[in-house]
Amino acid sequence: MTDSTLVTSPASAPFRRFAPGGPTRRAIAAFRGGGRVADAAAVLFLALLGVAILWPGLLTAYDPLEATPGTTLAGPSLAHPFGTDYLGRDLLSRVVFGTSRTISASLLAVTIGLGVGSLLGLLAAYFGKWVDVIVSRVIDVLLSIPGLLLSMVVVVALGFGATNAAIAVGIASVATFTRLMRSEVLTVTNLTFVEAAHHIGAKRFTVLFRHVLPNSYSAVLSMTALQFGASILWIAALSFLGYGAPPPQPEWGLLVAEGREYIVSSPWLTLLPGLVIVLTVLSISRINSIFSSTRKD
Amino acid sequence: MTLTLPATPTTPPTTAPILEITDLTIGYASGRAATTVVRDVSLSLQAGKTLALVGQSGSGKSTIALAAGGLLPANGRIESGTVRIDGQDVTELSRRGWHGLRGTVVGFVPQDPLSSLDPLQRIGSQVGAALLQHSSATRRTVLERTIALLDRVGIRDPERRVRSYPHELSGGQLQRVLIAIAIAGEPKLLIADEPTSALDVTVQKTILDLLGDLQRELGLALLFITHDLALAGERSDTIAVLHQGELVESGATADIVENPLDPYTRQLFSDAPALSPDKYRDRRAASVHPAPELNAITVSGLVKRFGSHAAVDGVSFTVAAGSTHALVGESGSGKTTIARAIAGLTAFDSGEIRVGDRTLERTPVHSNPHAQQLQLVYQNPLAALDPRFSVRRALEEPLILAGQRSRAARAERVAEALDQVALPSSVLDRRPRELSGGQRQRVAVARALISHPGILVLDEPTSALDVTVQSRIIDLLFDLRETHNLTYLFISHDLSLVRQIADEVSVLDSGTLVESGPVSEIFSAPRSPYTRRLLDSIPGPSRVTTLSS
Amino acid sequence: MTSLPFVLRRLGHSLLVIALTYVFVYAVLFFLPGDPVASRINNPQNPIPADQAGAILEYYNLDKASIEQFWISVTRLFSGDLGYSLATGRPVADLIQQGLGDTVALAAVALLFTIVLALGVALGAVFAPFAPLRKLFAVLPVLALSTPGFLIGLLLLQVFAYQLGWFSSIRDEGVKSLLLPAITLAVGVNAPIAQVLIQGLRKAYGEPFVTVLRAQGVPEYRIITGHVIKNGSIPAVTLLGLTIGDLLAGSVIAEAIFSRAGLGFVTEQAVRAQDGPVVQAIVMIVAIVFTLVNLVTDLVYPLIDPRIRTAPKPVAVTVAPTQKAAVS
Repeated sequence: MTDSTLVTSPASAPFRRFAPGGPTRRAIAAFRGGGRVADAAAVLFLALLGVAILWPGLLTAYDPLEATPGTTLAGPSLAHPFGTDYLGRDLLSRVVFGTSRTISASLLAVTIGLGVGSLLGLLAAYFGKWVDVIVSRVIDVLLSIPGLLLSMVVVVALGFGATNAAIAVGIASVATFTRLMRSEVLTVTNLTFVEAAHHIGAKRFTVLFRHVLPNSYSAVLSMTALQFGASILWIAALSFLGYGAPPPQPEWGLLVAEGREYIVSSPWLTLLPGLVIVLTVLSISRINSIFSSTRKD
Repeated sequence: MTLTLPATPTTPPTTAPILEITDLTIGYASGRAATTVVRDVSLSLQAGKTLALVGQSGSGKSTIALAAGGLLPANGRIESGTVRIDGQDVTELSRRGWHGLRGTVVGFVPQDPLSSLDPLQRIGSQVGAALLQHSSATRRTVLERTIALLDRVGIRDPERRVRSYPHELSGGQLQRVLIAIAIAGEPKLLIADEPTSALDVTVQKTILDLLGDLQRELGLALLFITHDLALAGERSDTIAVLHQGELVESGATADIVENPLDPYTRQLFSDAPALSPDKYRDRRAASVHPAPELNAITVSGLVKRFGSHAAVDGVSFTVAAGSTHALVGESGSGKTTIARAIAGLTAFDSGEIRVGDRTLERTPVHSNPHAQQLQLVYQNPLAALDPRFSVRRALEEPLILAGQRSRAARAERVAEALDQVALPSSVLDRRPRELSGGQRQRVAVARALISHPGILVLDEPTSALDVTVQSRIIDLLFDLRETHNLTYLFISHDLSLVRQIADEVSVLDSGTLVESGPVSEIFSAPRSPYTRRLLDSIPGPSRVTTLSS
Repeated sequence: MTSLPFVLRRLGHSLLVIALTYVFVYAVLFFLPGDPVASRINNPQNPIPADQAGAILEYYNLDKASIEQFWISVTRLFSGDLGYSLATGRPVADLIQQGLGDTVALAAVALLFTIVLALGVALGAVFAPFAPLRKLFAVLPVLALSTPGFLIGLLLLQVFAYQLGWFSSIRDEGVKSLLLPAITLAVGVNAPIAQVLIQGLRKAYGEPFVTVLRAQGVPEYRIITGHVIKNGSIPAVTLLGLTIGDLLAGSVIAEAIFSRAGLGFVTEQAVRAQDGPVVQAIVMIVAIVFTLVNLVTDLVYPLIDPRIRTAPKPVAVTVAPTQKAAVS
């Protein structure tokens, strides 16, 4: 045909189309291909956090609680890469020493959520009938209260403090795990290969442990990673509001809250600890997506 | 490729072809790599004629159909060659360029009618939109025109149906609606991509008859994509056979059907059950009824209800030991429900099922205590095998459950079973997803046979497979029957396959048994009109009438 | 259409959930050891006069058994008595009435932003003309989900109020002062919706009916606006109902940062003072709103999706796993 406006090389042909999309799998593959650097950065950052938890002294020379008079509210410099706070404490060392507190609180929260939640979900799916009815109503109740508010209720009942905040966040995430575990087990139970296992003579319990659970756990595992990231945010939010670890403890959310007073003159006091939180959660979700894509392949 | 074929049909064309494809090569990009899926294919289709593009999965036939309609997905790319429609080169056409052709010159009938209409819009407004866009219909006349068009494509009660949503219609009705949309702009060329592969055989016939009528009436050229060689032989003027993206043979349908030259085409002909009905006659005779006095399965008065609807309503039949008994019917006939009841996978409401000398409980227990007597082979082996289990574990599992504790004995039995289904031991450490469709079904058969059951219930074991693969699995089933003296209850919707392999047949329609008896009798002299209709819809040499004759 | 028995069943279920939630919250706040009423009266740092303490003790019947206290609270609830704040002694109903209007306005504006943002991001992620641009849009929700809500609020405050001076951080400027807190809320809340929307749109765009429409010669933009968006946004509609609770809960952070005296602020103060009756009332309000909004979503569903009308059970929607992180 002779329409001169349409002269394009075959190589550019697909890009003329408005239609993007294409099969999602390819889109993910392309995304993943371009994301090697991000993958490496995520691994590196989490490794750094590991060091901060195990050997915080390697990353900073300062004591997180020791104030240096005369250098209050100093901006980021070589000596103090994150600057200093209103008492002259080195912010980097406070962030570094705060890592283990924040991460361990999140681990506690996830452990509670995962442990209680998946047990309840498993019981509901396996026994069904009235057990399922009761568990389902429990999920309904827990889900009808937004997570942050639910953890506040628990904090009011238990009192303030880092551990209580972690427990509160854990309780608030129980329903998420219960619902996921229940639906995963129910879905897998109805798959043909589970019926086929019964058909060759396997007992219910054997089928549950040999076929159902191994095929359910990957979604739960993926949720655990995401909920771990979410717990960091929740615990930081509770500390930010003053319900978590008490000052002068270096906890990430608390650091942001402390910096808030000086946001006009010294914005790095809020920004840098905030950035560390963001990078941590991003890295965790990045790592999770690497693992879940390899699990699926 | 080495084989070059004439792009033009054997008789010289009187007019320019409506569709002309020359040396077409198409690739799909994935990341930076590109896979060529169609290589140097040349085809031509005259106005008013039917060209059947025949091939198995991965042959590139659908890709050619999409390219001919300018519908390749974003990552698909014509690498070389040209596509001409009605004399116009459309190879490099932009979306806007295609705009003038779509609907009015080229119409498209999709493969899967169930998801090819917008589920949120009424039928009438979807057909109406096509009419408003491509015909002289106006807002005032569109409803009337829509009803007339739906009536034309054989939708009953079109006044009511215009207000229906797609999910309220059956697959066959939806395909009629889609045909209505495709012909709304009175195109010259209709591209039909496996238009009936998702439909029941009797529906398939009525849809193809409709397409034939419309073709005559409107002078349509039809590019008919199909995997079914028998169907192509019956419904086309010219045939092009594709294999792995290359054209292996093309020519006038009669020539190809009578005298296929290419070895691949010949293979296809011998593997298509409809085209070689007597393939297994000798093997069938060889092993028939070693013990006809014994019944392997007796079903009497079987009833199974789902709510108030009886999926199986008083069905009785017997399966003789050592025979192959086929249970045939269309979707909703209850054939799979009966198979599942016999296998002890589903409860039933009344009636009696006896397997050997055992009477089944109406409500079966969770774990099957009779695994060593009867085994079911599922339709979809990928779903029936645990995705996390290697072939070795999948095959060992029944042995462990049967109490075989010796690792060496298990390994020996697994090797033996693999050998029986003609799989190499290299598959042992692979997961189901890493196997081909045929290999998976072999694994499923091996798993069923590993604990030496005497009876296999085969639930459409080959319906998801290409004919050549199906043919190898059927060969295997005959081998196993001869060596192990097995009894088969074979569930199928494919009458041509049943005619080929079964000794006896029971025909089901909406949960009731229509008739039952030896295949030779029922296929030559069916008593029930329903069976007659089923038999009539088998394509093949017995009933050669072309669409455009 | 939605049948009456179905509506009644769903309504009954919602009422049951609300009642159970009341029991649960009451149990957590008042049955657990460390009774907030008792600890409030005995607080040495903030002593209450003896006569007031006596009045509080009498009101809450601390001398009676827990189950009796619970029944008294239930009967009072039905007479419209929500109790008294332990911190200020004011009726809980007054406190809530005072803050409710502000927070409802905030949540409404935030909901609007949420919808606009989610739709904008999702449309960009699926239909933007260049692959890198689509990728960028698709990353935005992940970024939003990884950022604490308070950080977003502080950033907005720092940039738009302090640096640029467009907004006052203290003065109440009417609707204008709603903008920053509403954006803070919306950024966190829209992310899971945007993710589900992206998935939905991609799926709908890959459906065979899109090919049929293309083959029919329907222009691409009309395929998208007339068919793909409607089909692809159905799962996100359910999720939108679920975010109402997150918006209300998120207002605690947003109001704390932007010093607004809404329900969120009341909540923050009440939690700080471990003021059980106030916390209980607020949680119940949020739970009731959440449950009712979801009831309405379920009942409206058949109007959006005709497939549901014949089988009155909403299709299961896989909620993005990170949904709960939205407000922190």
